[in-house]
Amino acid sequence: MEYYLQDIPHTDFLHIFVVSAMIIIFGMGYAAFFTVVKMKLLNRYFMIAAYLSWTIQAACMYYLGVLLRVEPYTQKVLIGAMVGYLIFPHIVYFVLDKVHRRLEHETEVNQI
Amino acid sequence: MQGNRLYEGQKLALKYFTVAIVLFGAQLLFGLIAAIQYLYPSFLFNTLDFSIARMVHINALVVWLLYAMIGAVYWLLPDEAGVEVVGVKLGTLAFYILTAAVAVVVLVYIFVQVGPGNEMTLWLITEGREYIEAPRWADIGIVAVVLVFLYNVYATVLKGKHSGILVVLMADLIALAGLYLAGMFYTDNIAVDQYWWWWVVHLWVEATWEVYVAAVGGYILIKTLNANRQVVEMWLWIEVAMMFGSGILGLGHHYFWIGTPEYWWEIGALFSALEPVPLVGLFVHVLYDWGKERGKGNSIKNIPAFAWLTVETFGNFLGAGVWGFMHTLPQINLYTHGTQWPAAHGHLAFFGAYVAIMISAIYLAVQGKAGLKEMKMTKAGWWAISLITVGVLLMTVSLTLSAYTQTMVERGMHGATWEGYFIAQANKWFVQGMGWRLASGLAVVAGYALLVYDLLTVTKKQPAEVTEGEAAVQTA
Amino acid sequence: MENKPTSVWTSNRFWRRSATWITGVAAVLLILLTFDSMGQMQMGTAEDIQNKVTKRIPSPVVINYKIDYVLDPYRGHEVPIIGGKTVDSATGKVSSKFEEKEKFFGRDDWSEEEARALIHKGKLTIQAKNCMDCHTLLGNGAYYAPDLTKAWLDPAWSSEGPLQAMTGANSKEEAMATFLQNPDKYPTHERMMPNLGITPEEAKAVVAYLKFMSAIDTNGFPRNFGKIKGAVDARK
Repeated sequence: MEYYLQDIPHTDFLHIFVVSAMIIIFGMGYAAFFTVVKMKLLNRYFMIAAYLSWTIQAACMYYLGVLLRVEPYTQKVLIGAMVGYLIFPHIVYFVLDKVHRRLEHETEVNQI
Repeated sequence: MQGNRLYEGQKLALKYFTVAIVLFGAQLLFGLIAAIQYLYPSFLFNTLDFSIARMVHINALVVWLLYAMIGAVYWLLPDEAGVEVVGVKLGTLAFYILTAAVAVVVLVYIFVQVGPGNEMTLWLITEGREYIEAPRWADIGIVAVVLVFLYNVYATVLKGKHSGILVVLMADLIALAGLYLAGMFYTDNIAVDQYWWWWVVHLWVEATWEVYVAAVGGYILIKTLNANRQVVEMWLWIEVAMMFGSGILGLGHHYFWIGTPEYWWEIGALFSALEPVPLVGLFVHVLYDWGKERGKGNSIKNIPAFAWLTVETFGNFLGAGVWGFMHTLPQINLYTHGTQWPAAHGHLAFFGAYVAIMISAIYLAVQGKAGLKEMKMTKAGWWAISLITVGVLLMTVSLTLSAYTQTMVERGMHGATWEGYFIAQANKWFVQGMGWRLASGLAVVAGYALLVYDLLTVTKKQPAEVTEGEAAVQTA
Repeated sequence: MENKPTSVWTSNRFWRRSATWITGVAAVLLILLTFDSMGQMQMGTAEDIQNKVTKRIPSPVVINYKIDYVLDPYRGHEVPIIGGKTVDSATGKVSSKFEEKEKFFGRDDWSEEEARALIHKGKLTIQAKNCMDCHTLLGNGAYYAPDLTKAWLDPAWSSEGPLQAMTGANSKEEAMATFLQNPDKYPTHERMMPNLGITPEEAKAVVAYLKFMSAIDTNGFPRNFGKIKGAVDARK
């Protein structure tokens, strides 16, 4: 395999740091809004905020890829990661919700 | 918890917690000295140099966290297993031996400092390997003490109930102890030296310690929120899968530039990019449980412990997740490696991931010791958590300012030479960052003083309410 | 409870097994990769240098050779070059010639045993004096003092550099050794190195280690080294 590290002009450093931070922060925003809305602690219209967070995160990820001058293979990995992250909270919530339903149902049965 | 009656293992836990808090103070004191030296290099020059101050600062941190971790296990072990800790006498003896050894090591660090360049120095004074400088004799002592601890954990669990939390802890602790052995040999090849050194450092703080935190965090959730045990335990297994799945190969991000093959670039980048995912998961889980229990109208049984657990989830996510990802990819790490970036990341990550949860566990023990059913936050407690948290956050932001300046000036403009290094260190923004770091450090010290005061007095300041013992009398 | 059909997603057993499997696979992968890395990271021998075989961590006898750090267009970053370079005209790949010698403390015929003994002492001294709690080595350590990875090649220590002139020595190695024995006598900046009681033999050994370390292939870290002064032909 051939390796190549592109030179990054130092004027791009700040953009890279800010954009990487935003990727993680909006990633958290997506998961947090998603959970809170699903738990009915917030109006369901806030789900827009969750998906908006994900969109911003994906845009940041794209920009980071440009700034780091990644090669085509890494580009595909980054896109795959973003799609995976879109699904991730759905799975987590699905699992948590199922287990809660099962257990709460069981407790009721046991009490009877 | 059975009212005021504690298990002997829990009494031992209180001893560990006490030493932990004292060492926490030592960590802050020496951190302060090192921070002052960045601004006034002549401070204690040739008496207690930066290298010594920093070594004690970090070693005290590692050791007090280990003390608190052992303490927390001794605290929850009899409670979870439902039986007394098996070798509690042996455990107490090990505690005194360990504490005496730590005292000797620290005194040697401070008063002997360095030795001649031969094997004797490595055996008796220092091994000179960042984070695990403890001399070889102390290494062997640590292994012996840890073996006693492991025996106690295993024997107790085998005798009592095998809860999911305990099973995870048993597996995790044996990995944690075994990994220490990877850091106990000498080689002339510095690349191989650092390769194995990272096995200890990384596989501790980014794998086994994280799993430990997830397990103890689960216990704290059950204790403070009455969270459903089955949900907590199932979630714990998911966390273990995610943490070990990303953390073990995430080791690759330390193998970019130390003489290792290039394939670690891809491996390190991919798995360390996944490392924040379990931290998001942990955060969502705490949020979820809190929301569920609040919906049922249940109150929080120990507000200070829960508040520190919240700081832990946020801090872990911000420090390890955000600050970690900012400089983890090899393309950018080439410019940030060996600058103040890891310092900024390390301060928030250690505080968020480990310090906060250990304080949370200590509050839980304080509550248990007094036999209180519910524990509210006192004013001093609020000030302590706010000062320490805001202080560490501000410290991280200040160090980030310095780090950014250093990366730009030294790495970007001056090509990582010595001249570039010193130009960057003298840059006014770099110096500003160091100044704010010292100021925020002072805030943390003030918070620490309040924390100690609060831990000693919080149970006496609770609004008059029934303790479990009294409640039993009343119902009778 | 057991005989009730439950979804696999909510089964504790399923997740416990997943966790065990994932951990096991990751650990096995790490161990396999470690075997491969260890193979590539073994210290080279004098024979390798005679046969012109490039190793990531070369034999300590590199202290007899001139060491450079030059841009390899093929790999896209700087690489250490021992004893002069050759360039592959097709790919642009640069490699070491292992020919051009350079005297180290007046000699360029350090035998493998002598060189190994020297860097052994050097590494022990580096650990015994806690260098890593102020400096970084291969970028790891504390950030209170300059990185030592390529210190041997730093323009500041070259014959035109300010640090060599300061000690009044005639060669880089002598300048470094003189400085290490009495660092507080040569204040370079307000931030100074403390006196660690380094003996002349220890100083010589540490300098040998620094020269040896500068020949380790670090995948291009530090980047753009020597861009400003051009003492190293990194950007020529």
